[in-house]
Amino acid sequence: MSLLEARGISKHFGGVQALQNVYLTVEPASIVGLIGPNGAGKTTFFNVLTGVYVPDGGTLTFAGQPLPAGQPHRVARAGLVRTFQNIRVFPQMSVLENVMVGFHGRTRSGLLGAWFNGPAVRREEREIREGAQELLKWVGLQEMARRVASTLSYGAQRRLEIARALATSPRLLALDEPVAGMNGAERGHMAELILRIRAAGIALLVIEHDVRWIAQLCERITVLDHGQRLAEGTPAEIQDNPQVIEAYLGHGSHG
Amino acid sequence: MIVPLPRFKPLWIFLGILLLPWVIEGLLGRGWVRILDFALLSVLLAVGLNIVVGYAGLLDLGFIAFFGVGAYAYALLASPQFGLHWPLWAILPTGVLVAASFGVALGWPTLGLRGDYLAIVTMGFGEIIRVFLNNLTAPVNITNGPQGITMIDALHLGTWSFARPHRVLGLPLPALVGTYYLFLLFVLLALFLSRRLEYSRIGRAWMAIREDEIAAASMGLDTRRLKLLAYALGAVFGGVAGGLFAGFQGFVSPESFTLQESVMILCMVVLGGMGNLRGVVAGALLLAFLPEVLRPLGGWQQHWFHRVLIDPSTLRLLLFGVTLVVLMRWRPEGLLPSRARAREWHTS
Repeated sequence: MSLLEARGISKHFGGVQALQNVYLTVEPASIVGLIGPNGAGKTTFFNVLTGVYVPDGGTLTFAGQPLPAGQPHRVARAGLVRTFQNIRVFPQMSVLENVMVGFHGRTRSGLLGAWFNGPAVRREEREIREGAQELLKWVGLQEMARRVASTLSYGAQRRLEIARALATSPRLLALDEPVAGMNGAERGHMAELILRIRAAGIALLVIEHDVRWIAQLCERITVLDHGQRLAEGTPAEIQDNPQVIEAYLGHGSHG
Repeated sequence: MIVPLPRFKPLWIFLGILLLPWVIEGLLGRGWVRILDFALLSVLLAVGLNIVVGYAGLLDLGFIAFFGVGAYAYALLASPQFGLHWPLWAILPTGVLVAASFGVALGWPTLGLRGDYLAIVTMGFGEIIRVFLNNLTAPVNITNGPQGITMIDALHLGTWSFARPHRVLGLPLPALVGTYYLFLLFVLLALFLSRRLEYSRIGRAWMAIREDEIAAASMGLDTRRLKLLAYALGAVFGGVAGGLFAGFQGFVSPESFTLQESVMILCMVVLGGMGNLRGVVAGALLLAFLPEVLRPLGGWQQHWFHRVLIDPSTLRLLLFGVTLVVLMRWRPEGLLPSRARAREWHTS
């Protein structure tokens, strides 16, 4: 059974058809690329997927269950978590606190717990802290734990976002342009991190512009153009697809 | 964690707080002890609003409504208005429930709003409550309209009334000093509960919502519930302060719960340092005392210029305003800001 199945997803804003009848599946522990020119609807699709937008049509099934539409926190708790194209760490919180927030949905202590601060609550808090430190080590930010998130470099903030998302214990991690604005070496590090996440049994859905970078990583690629699915296949198939080449380079040759 | 957990304050600070009303009575007179008592209620209010504004980042311009709800709850349950004379231990939980319900009632319709829009709706809520207090006189006279409710039972525990002087271990305990200790107890409890929340899973979640609500929801935080919880808790603190106010003053009327009071409490929180309890306490005490300190302005003018040049009450408000402007110009992050707030203002 596929982990994620999006069938016939449509979404329009006023007169603009942002997504039209989009199909996409992600198998467990696989890496799927989602590419397409600017304005193709990739981020809109992410927003529909993660409950930020309610789709006008189509169904979303995750691990056999329908995904709750329009309720981001329930999507996250179901095991589908994302990062953002324009990084959204909690800027004034420490790096460690950022990751600790990711554990929220998996922990229980409430108001009375906070007030009485009994042994169970203290243990839970300690476990969250240790878990967060572990994840920071995993993405290579262990030295930065006490830093304020907004003072990290761009690349480090991207990795922090990933650590925070991993703290929710997802089954599918959706990354929105994880290497945008990064140089070659940083792209290499991100690719390595993505492969390690997959090796841990977590599936990934990755939006990316750079076809060559994504092609070396993933098993399947879906191409969006003008809100529609233009093509779907293995990286080799996609790179040879004349429609895809046309969408990216424009048709005809003008000298 | 980076943040140190609450530590026990040095003993001498505690002793100072215990002896404060005696010192003030000795140096400045009994009237100032009364002002001190009211200042403690301001602290309670500011600590409550700090949960909403400082922790969860929800701009609330109608906070005084909860103070009003608490005050009227006490007034109606312990006055000749309905012939009810409930004891404090029964009024308190009732008031807490009522205030929390009002907090949720305000929070519910505002869940989708932020910033300016939220401020306007909360302001409207504050006004609605005041208008209701003014007009709930027919067909059943509940609030007694603009005249307010009088002859409210004094604060008392069993036979111990806080409106009367007592003798403790042979020492005289003036009523106002006894009240000070009662209010102090509530303030310390509020500070303790607030502090524990701040460094808990819930406090961290509120902070995340304040910083980026969309990212917070995407990490599995139920932002609706967490925001309602902040409103409800803030309302409870405000409501308890209101109940104590009613019992202390023996009289409540709608004019104690105007927009200006809401703004004043917000000023206390912002000026002191949003999100930082010490700052909030400092802000509340400063703004509670400042108008009183400026009260003898007429006399000073008489002394210096041998006549009153500017109407003292006008001048007092003017100086008060100037103080706020100066403070916000030179310390926009507040007197004692929280770490996060200080960084927001001083990182480029």
